Amino acid sequence: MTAATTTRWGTSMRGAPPRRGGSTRRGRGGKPGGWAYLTPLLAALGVWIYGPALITLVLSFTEWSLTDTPTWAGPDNFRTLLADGDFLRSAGQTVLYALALLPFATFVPLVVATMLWMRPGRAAVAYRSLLFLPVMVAPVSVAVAWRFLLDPLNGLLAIGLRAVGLPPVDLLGDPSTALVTIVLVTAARVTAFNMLLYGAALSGLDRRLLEAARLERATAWETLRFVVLPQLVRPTVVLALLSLVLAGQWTFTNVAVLTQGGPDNATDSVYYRIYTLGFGFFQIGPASAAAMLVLAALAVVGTAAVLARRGRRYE
Amino acid sequence: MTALLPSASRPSDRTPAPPHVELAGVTRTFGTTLALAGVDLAVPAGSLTVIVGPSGCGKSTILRMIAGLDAPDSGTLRIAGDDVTARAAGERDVAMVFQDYALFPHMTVEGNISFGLRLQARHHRRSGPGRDEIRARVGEVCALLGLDNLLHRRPAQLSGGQRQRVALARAIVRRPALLLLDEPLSALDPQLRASARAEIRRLHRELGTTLVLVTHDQHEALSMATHLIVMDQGTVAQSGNPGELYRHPCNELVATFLGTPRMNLHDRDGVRIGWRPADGRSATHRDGVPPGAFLVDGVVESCEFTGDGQHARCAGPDGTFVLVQREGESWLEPGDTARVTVPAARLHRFGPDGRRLP
Amino acid sequence: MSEPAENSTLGRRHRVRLAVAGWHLTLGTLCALTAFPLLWAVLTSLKPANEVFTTTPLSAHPTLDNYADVLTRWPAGELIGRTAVMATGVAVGQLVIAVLAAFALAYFRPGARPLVLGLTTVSLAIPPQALIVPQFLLTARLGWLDTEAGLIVPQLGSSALAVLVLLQHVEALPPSLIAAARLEGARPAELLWHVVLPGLRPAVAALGVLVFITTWNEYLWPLLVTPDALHTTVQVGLAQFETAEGINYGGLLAAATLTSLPIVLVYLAASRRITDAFLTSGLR
Repeated sequence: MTAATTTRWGTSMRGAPPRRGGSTRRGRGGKPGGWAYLTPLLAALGVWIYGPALITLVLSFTEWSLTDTPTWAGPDNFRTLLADGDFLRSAGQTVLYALALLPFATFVPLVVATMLWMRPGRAAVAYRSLLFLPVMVAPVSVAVAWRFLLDPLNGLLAIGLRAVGLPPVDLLGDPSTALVTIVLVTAARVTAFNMLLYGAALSGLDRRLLEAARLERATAWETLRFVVLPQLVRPTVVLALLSLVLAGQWTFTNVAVLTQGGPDNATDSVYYRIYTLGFGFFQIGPASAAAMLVLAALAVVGTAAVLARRGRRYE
Repeated sequence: MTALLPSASRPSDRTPAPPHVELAGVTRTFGTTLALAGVDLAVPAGSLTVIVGPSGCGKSTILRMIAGLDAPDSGTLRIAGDDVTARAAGERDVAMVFQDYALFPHMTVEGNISFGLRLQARHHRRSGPGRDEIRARVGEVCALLGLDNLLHRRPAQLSGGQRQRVALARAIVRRPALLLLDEPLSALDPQLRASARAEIRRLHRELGTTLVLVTHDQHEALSMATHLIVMDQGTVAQSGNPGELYRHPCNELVATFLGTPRMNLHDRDGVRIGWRPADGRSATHRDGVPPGAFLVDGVVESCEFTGDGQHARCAGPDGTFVLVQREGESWLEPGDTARVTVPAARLHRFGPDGRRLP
Repeated sequence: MSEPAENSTLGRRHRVRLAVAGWHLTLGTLCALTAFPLLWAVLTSLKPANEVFTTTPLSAHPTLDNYADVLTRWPAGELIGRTAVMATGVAVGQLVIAVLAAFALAYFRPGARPLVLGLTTVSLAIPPQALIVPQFLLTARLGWLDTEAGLIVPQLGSSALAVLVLLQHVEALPPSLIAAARLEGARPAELLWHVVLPGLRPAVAALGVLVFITTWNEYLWPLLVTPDALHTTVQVGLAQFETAEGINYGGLLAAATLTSLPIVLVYLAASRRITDAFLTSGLR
């Protein structure tokens, strides 16, 4: 075999063993002097992410309203929160958001991404750009547009219902429909972004597998099932997890602009609750405690995910 | 026949100068794989040394170590007498041409070639080369390699052969004392390889730099080397004059690795007997067998036409072997019987451990 | 399977054409659905005040009155300018941080690399709401409230995504290129400038556009730092516009369109680059 093989890593080092962990690529282990280059990142993370995280931890044990002096409150904040109906309700609704957005974070973008991938070309590029638009347009603008459409008296929906003879509906003002409405408004953005992530996963698939399948006289469905979808199992799991974890955040702007947590806290999420506690009621202690509870929940989910992954690798 | 083999009396072998590169007891482990298991080798000054061996033998690792891109776990590496085991890559007066040429894609040919010199100018503002000197040296090297009208092109606009010459130019413009080449011909079309081989030999003659070249192709190795090192599984199997290695391989690996078609091997009386296909002579039942000669019989299984003859693969009671028929000798077909005698002087004997028997 | 040969090929061609039509129909419908609210908003902004609530898409008397209204009574220029400064600052800042960090992690491979990567990845999962109180207090303590610095610097803590994407791209560069430069005597900073950075150009450009756009769309942080509706960023201004103006939908939608349009245009011009940066970086 005299053809040069340029692998993903560049030079084919015949005689060099398989690369593991990249430790052979640039000389064994580390070279000195890299810390100067890492300082900006570490400073940014330390000062604006992890430092504040620690401060939030400390604040969760205090009682403070930004204008007076903070006093030590011990675990009181946590106790009050866990007994607070509003907080518990917002926590439950956060989970609801996560579950409701799950299909929009996994099934719909998977289908769309696969469709776009199966027929590459200018049309696909155009559709992809258009479908990605919801991610690019400001959430506030989107929220405003929806507010207009859903206006209970004069919005397009109201007019449509009137024309058909049905009574007007205030989707955003009715506690029983508000949450679902927020979910639907948020869905487009979530789908659009995850469509791109699925696309990334699919781009790693060799198109020649499709041709091989065709030679084996596989139907379109069989090709999908046995060639394409297995490639997408892993990203689906990742995205499902992400959806569960981040759903509340995705809905934040829409809740803030459209319903402010209402009506009657029907659209409240933990994240919005933290915001209102902190900057609405200026109860810094409970706000921080709530934040810590959320972080703890995320840490549990995250660790479980990492452990599950590692477990699978040893099979 | 003997006249075609490089004799032992080549000028480079009489050079008493100290070796340019010396490795002593070098080991290197990657993870759980032992890549180099105690390597001792020397590169004679001014030679064109070729390190050759099968995949995984460690030759590329050795080259990277000489360049300074990798460091040994134990052992020492000396270049021009200095212990450079710990010295950084850019400070060894070593230049390298990579297998994929590693041309900087965003620079022109001129930019690529002058890169090292421009860095030197910046590092040593007072003593480094000036802009005029850089331009002159680039021009000089381009003339040597025929790149004059390509100076303003980008690597993407060059052919494979041109890219190789640019990589060579970049390496020699700094006038390094030691030039390393990693599989320089494997990326080229087969037709280009012969001219590229000649080009490399010409450069070696004109520059007088010590060249160390790594390849897996034994034909390249034999045709270019003034000093040949065969490696296997992390150690040096044999090193020396190419002719010496070809005619007196010290073990079975070297014997079967060098030369094509491969050396034929037969087991007889507990000893491994080897002979090169070209050394065998077809015999008929009427011919006598010279004293000490080796006789082997077989039936032709398949034949390959080589243009100026045939390679016949035969199988017999002593195993399989390949016979070379030249034009003028009888034409063989599958099913024919073949009888070969090999003169005693052309026989190689190997013991059970693979090493040569005297 | 006793169809004559010609019929089956015809049938097959039919099926293929149907499939293609279905493909276009599905994707087209999805596009229409996602674009509809935005499109309707734009069209409404062009209607005179009395027609705002009609069901006809395009008014018989399209007018730019709403826009004129918005531009005179709303500091659109200042808001857009402020937002542009913030978005550019954050994009540049994050890119600098990310390029340096990605290079450090890929080239020097410090022993702490797993730790740094872990910290970076985890920072992606931390909800901003958990950090806004201390971040706000620190910004106030630094005297940066109501300033560009206060808008830009704290958002540099979110460089994690840029770092991870660029790290992928740096490690995708051929190692022989780095090795060749090292042999030529290049020092690390020179390696970064002459070899790595040119190879990262497309990824940096795409990432820059992406960070610019997501920062432009940022709502929560500017709300805290620059709450004054007249001297804030576009998103906050738009949200405040809504609550202040009651329900002047024509003006509101004109304002929304006005502030979204530049971004949409930037995106459409660069969309291929952005999607490519994601598609080819091999995100896991």
